[in-house]
Amino acid sequence: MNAPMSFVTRTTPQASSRRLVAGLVLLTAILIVASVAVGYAALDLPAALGDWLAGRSTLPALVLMELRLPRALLGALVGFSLGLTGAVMQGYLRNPLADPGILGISSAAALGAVVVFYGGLAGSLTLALPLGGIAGAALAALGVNLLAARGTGTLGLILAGVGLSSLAGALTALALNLAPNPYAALEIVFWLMGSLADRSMDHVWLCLPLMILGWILMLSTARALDALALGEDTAASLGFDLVSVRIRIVTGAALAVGSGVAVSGAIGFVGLVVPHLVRPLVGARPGASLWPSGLLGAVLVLGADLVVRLLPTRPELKLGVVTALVGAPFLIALLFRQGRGR
Amino acid sequence: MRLSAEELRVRLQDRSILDGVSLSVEAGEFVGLVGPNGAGKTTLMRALAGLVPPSAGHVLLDGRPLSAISRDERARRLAVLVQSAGIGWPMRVSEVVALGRLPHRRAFAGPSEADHAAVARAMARADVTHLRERTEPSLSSGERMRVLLARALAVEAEILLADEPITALDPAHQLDAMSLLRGISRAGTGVVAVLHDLTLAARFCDRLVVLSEGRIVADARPALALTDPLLRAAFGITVLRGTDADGTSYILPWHRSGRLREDDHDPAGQDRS
Repeated sequence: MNAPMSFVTRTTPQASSRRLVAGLVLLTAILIVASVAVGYAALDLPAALGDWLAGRSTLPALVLMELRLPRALLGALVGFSLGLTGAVMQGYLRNPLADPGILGISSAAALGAVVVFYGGLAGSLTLALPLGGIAGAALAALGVNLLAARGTGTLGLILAGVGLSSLAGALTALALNLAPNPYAALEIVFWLMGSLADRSMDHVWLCLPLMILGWILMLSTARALDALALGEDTAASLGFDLVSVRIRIVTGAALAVGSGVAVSGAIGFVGLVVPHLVRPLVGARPGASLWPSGLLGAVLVLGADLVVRLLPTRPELKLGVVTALVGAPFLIALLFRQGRGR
Repeated sequence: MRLSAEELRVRLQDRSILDGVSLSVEAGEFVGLVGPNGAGKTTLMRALAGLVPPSAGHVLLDGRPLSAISRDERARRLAVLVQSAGIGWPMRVSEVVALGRLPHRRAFAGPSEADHAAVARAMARADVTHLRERTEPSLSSGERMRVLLARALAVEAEILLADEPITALDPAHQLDAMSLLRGISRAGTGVVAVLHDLTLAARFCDRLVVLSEGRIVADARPALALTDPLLRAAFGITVLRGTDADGTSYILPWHRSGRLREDDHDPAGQDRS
């Protein structure tokens, strides 16, 4: 009885984790293809791809490369960033209610974009809006790192994030309040709701390198997150440099989520819910939940973006509205069920 | 192998916590660190572990300052069991204990056979093998403490620093844990444990270091360290003394002697001295 037991406990966690990641990669790929195939106009995919490969700038080729593909790719990239950052934040802060926006980075990125919008720069340069968002996220990360550098506790980090979030939210409200006309205000509000519609490959090329760098920084903290399950002193005694861990996490989150918000607006609840779904599947070890959380985030955002396009509502529902509408009740149900299990 | 502190001073938020502490622990020794609440025991343990920087003095590992030793080497040579640690996520016990192997793991590599063996040994020693599939919310506080002790043992370090390792345990497991700590010290590990139970500390430790108001007031074999005047001055208690049938002497805290109470009302008193 004992020998097979120990065999099972040795091999199962890693093997099942690998199976989970493989399954989620497959699901993400399927949803990317589905996302490319679905749109408001019928598109002959093979023909469009053939035209593009042959270098013919036909209408189907343009629709595929300039509309469908960027939308699908951004869905996957933004979703992976949100899921991964959510898992990293919950692991790092040892708080199941932490989300990618807890450090104020999302709000600051949104504020950066709104400032650009308000300043009228958005019309003169296509990428002005996302660049403004990235600038906002960068400033926020710098601010959080500086505020946190004065102490080592994670509580200080959360408080700094809450302060920053409130400030960015207040300034965004101020921009709305002072908006020159109701249409400008409406446009800002719609942008803040989050959407992947009408993005181009330029958006993909802008956020891709930033996101990949952010992912690498956050994924490099996996073992430290495991050790942090036992508290900061124990993690430090196991040889982890907690200052380096904090800087990697704050910078990585700013790069991934900041550039995500900059290209897509605020998409809520994905980063909060995903780690809760993944945790029971990987034995709750924070480091083991990073890849599956990123991939499940991509799956959820791609899925929600498909729903947005398949629903007959006009105007099109905003992606952030759908994720929040589905995510919030789901999270409540999940917490309720877990609470009852105790 | 020797871990030592020399004239260690630690100030936290403008309050002097440790005021010139010197002590050492050698391989094969089981040292009990005792003292009343607020004496600075936990701060001393954290300073010995390199978790809090001293404002003056050094902590030396085999004569080298702790600050000159790399984090990785320090993590392999010094195992630390912190006070009232919790387990943040519903991880399985076997995975919690395996965290003790992180300092030995290579980058991008899974646990090795040696890691699995060390985890199994640590779980057996701390009597948690039967709990291996259990997860955090279902553990009692005594079970959790033994799991965390197993985690610290799994490091298989040369020095083990344990802050209150037996506080939450029932009497049988307290005796087991003290025998275990003495056993691993006999196997060559230097052990320092913060203890509140003077009876068990006196019975199992090779040496007792008594800390009071940030200073060491005794550092000797238990029988020499815990004298009546010292117990009255440092702890504010008087004890019963007796001898077991096999000739082992024991002490039992019995009465409050009242000396400590004046100090309790003046917690900042040591700052003004």
